[in-house]
Amino acid sequence: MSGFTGTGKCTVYNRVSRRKLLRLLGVSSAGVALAACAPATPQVIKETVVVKEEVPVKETVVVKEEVTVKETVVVNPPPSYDQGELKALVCCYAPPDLEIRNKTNADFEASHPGLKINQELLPAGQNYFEKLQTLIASGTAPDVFDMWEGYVQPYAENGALMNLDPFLEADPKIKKSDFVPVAINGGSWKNNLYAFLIGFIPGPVSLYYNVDHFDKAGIAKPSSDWKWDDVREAAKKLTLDANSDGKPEQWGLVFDLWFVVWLYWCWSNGGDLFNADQTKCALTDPKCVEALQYWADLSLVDKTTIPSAELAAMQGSMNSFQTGLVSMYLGNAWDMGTLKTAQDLNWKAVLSPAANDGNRIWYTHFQCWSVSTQTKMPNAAWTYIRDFTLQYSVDVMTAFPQIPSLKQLLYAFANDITISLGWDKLISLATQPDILRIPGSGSKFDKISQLVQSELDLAFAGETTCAEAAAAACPKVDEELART
Amino acid sequence: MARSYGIRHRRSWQRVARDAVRQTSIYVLLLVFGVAVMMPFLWTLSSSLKPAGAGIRFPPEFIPKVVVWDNYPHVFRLIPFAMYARNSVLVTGFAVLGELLSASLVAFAFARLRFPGRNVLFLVVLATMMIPYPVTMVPTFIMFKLIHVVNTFLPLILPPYFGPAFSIFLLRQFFLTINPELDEAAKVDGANELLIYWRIIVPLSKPALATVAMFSFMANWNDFLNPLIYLSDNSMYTLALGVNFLRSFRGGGDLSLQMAASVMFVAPCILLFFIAQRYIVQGIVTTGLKG
Repeated sequence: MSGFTGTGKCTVYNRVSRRKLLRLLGVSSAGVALAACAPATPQVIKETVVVKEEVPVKETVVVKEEVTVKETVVVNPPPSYDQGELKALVCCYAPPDLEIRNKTNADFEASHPGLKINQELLPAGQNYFEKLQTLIASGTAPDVFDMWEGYVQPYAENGALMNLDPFLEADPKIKKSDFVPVAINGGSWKNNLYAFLIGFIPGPVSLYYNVDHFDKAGIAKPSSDWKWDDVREAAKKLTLDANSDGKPEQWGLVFDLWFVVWLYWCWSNGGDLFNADQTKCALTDPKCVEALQYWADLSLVDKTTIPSAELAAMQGSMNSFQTGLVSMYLGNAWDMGTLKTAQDLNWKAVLSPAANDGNRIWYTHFQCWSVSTQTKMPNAAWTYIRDFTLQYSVDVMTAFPQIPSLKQLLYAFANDITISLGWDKLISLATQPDILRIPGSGSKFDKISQLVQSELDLAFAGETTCAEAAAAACPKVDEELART
Repeated sequence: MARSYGIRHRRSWQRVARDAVRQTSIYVLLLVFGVAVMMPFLWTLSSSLKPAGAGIRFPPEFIPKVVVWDNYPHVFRLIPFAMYARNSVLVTGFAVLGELLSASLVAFAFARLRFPGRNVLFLVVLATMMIPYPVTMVPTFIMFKLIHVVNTFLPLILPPYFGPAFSIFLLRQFFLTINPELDEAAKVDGANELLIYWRIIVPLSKPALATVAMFSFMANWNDFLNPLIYLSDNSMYTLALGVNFLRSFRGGGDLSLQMAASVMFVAPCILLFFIAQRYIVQGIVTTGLKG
């Protein structure tokens, strides 16, 4: 701003405007406030005495020098793991599980001073992934979180999961060869490990059966060596229609028609949903069609399973078995917990039957950890998921038995509960390659499974054959696989 | 004369009989329809009193053979039901208050004030109803994260204070039915717009406000996704989220306990409906929502 003085000289002077003054005041007060809020730098003034070595001098005079130096040393956390609060997001916990988790976390915190586990537990349901996606998209992802089978690939592909291979290679406690094959296959994407499996269980793992029905019919009870034909024959004998009105009072067998079950049928019979490089639908393969039609015929030809419409009215297969209307149920691992509460039901279980050629390939349900790429504490996250798995997968056996992912922990799976369910045989099976699988196609599988399911629903209702259903589903699956 | 009286008398009886038959038919029809509509709730109520495992028997037992009242206190032992209920009351209470206040003020402006672009703005407000929630979920979360209110009740309470479109629409329609001459009279008496809103429009709009309050209560009380996304601390969970802890891994769990918790969960909604029933029905009829 310029001004004019009485001397006739034009002088230039700076006059501060009100706006400028306010801005200055604002900036300076913000600076003061920020300075006040800033955490104090952890510095320690340390007095160090440095004793220099005796140095021989030319004149053979020995000089002993003592120097006092004042230096500033920043105190760092221990180098092995990061310190602070580690956030863990856990889905679908049930009350008995909480106690085990809390104990595991408390033990971990005790052995890792300076590290605190902030565990967030969510109730059961698919909404878990809506929350996880929101947290990741907003840059507030938890350090470690639950992962499910089938979700590893899409999340890794989108850069949400940290590659665990470098941690595993540098780890003194465990190495990659310690894992059972399915744990590495299921947790990997493009040959890198993105999910650390705590445990897993095949699906459908069990053939649950009503002991009283078998005793009454006087037929041999199922065993884990049973094949599909054995189940079929038993189902025929156990289906009772006393008044011959076409509505049996007792059904031989029941199962839920969902992707876990129909994949198990296809795989066990030597077929697959996709070709080897997962670019084409292979459901029309005769082996797949044969397997699907075999099971559809149990309802359509033999009339030994409950039709899907009636099954819906009974609120699903598990409930119908629990009511005592059905003799056998091809079910899941988690049904065991519900069946324990069933009153007046005398039940037992064996492994789900093998295909008639003796093959049995299951779908694999995982429980696993992943580490977020957004974590600021990768070392602590790795240490936590490793130590958690080592302790939890053994402790949880009495509440929710599942096969541990580490070979050295497999012994824990052979306990009273698993032996009574016939699951102990899974220990030797789990170490074999290709007995347990997850389907390919990553994030597209959810949609693909629905496309196939809608066609199979028609086939199992008798409106089409399984060959027609597969032929109708495959073009849609191919289209989905080709979509970029 | 006597004959004529007899005919009239007979016709009168015939009319009475016809009316009675018609009335009875209507009542029977309504009763059947009402029972059909109530069936799921009755089944829930019945299952909540059954022993463990009996809830899934087929065919269903509508009247439990053994009544287990202990299912209700047992819910309190399994999950911190009272704490979840307190959180739900807090969130829902403030959210309903905010929705009533903001929606009625905005609706008043659209119904009574004349300003350029009023209709276009109203269309814009209505258009927000067409945006699906998942589209705004992440941006909204980021916004709340930036103002550091994630894992507090504020992300659940604040949005209703910014005028939900449906409530604005509903109240505007009702305000349009109130005679504008009342406003003119108030203006003559020296009332400003805010006074007209508070002294004339609000007292005359109780049915519509009750309807908005009811809808808002239901939406906030039953909201599952927002508490799931915004709350991380178990002690802050609402009932809609908390009762799900009675389910086990990948579904299942004791159905009787889940039903007992569900009955207690929906009880406030039912209670509120009965209390405000007269206003709500009137509100729905007069705002053109019916039919």
